[in-house]
Amino acid sequence: VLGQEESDERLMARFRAGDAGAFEALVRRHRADVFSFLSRLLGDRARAEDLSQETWMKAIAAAPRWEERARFRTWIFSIARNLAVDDARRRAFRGTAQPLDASGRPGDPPPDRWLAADDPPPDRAAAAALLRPRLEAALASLPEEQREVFLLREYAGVPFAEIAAITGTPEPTVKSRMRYALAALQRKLEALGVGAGEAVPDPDGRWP
Amino acid sequence: VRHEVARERLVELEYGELPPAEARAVEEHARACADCRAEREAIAGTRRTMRQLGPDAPEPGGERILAAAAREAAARVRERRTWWRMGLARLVATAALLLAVGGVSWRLLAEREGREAVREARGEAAPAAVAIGERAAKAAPAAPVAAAPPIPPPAEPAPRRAASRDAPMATDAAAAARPADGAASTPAAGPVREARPEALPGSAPAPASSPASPAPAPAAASPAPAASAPAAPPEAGGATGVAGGPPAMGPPPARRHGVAARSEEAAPAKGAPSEREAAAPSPGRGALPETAADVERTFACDGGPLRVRAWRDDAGRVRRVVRELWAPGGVRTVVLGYDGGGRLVEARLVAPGPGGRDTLSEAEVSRDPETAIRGARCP
Repeated sequence: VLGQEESDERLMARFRAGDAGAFEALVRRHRADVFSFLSRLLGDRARAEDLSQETWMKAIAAAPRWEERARFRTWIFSIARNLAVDDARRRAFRGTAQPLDASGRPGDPPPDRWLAADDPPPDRAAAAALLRPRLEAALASLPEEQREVFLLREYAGVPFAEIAAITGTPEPTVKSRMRYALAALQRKLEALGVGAGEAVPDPDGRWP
Repeated sequence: VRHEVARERLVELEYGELPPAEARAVEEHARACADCRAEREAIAGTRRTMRQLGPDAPEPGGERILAAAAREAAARVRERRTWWRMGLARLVATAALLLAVGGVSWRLLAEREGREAVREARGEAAPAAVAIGERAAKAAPAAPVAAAPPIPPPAEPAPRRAASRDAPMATDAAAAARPADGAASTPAAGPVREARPEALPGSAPAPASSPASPAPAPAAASPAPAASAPAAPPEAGGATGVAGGPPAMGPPPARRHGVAARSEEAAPAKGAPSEREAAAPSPGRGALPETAADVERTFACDGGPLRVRAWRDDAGRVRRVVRELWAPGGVRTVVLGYDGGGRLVEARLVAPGPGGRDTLSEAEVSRDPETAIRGARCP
């Protein structure tokens, strides 16, 4: 019986021992977060769907090499992140998209696909419904390298040191990017009319 | 904490990644520093806002594919584990078998060494001559006269045998092994005396010979009298009596232990011909004699099949070797004798075979008994 209190690492160990149900529990627990990370990192839901499935399939295949000391969440997000980077490189090679790592130059115009900065500010009631796209837009406005760090730290809960390991970036650089990301988000949210501390419950949000 | 350092650490502080002491120091600075306080509030506010963005829901249906893949992988894991366990079980079984075999081998080796040690001890205590004699006495009654006894009887006078014992090489041996009892006994007397001390240790403890022969004589040196004494009282008595006689004397009839052993059936036969017939397969008979040799091997030689038979004493040492070359017209038979130390003490040509030389070749005379039975060379 899988209890909610059972740790990811314990579930992973059970899966490695031949318990498929343990892996299904891990999928249930983290699939939406992995997909959201990929979706926000890539700004492409369809690609995120594909890469999300690929991430989990890869996790199944790589399970025998998983070390029990490694946090499962860090591990699964690093798989997802590397797949996204590889995919972006492949697409860049084919000339269909900018590579993930190269597109994050400061000063690049953010891909505001959901909400334009010059849209009229919504009224308070509409704000709740429109908050989500605006937050997405704020995220999307971040350079890739900052977005990656922010997504991993804020939503995936991966510590800075592990983000440094996943991205192959020095830890101080990771922290700097995080500071830039927070500052940029603050500015963007203000520009989008989202005040700091504006607390509007997200309809399907699990984050408190 | 310096202001710049504290300001840099605010993000880590907000994410709870600072060590406790550093966190306290940065917090303390941030409380006192308006700039840092504002920055900290900005970070916390942005985080609060951004955390209202919940996770996106991926398309449903993907879980089913993942669950199927996970079940497949788990089944493979279980299968591998089963195989591994089976492999382990097999490995354990193999290891156990090897251990068992090794243990038994070691045990056998140890026992064999122990037996050999006992044998050596016994072999030194019991004279080789007695051992051979006993064997001969045992085997002889069981075997019909027509069949050759395990140990062919000496057909020559004692001095001759002593001579051959001393000089087993082809020329001397040939002289000694001349089938017809000739006049060669006198010249052989010299070597015999020299041979005596060597032959003595083996025969000295023999019960029959020691009382009868105060002075070592060639006859006493031969194992035959010792063996014949208990086996055939009437003739053996004569033998022992003669055993102490002068070496140059002609061989008394009963001096042949083979005669003693077969005394019931071949008692009156004292002559060389009958003995030779009994000792070696009759050339014309064509059938291999049925005797219980300890070793029996057949080699292919140009002249025909060479059968080599050997008899061991209780200590397992080869004491008597009979080589028979089954040539088309008859059998060439050579008898070799060895003492307990493995020294060649006898080499006789019992029958030359059809057209065969009446001398022994070097190939037919092996100084080492084990060589004689293993790689017997063709005559």
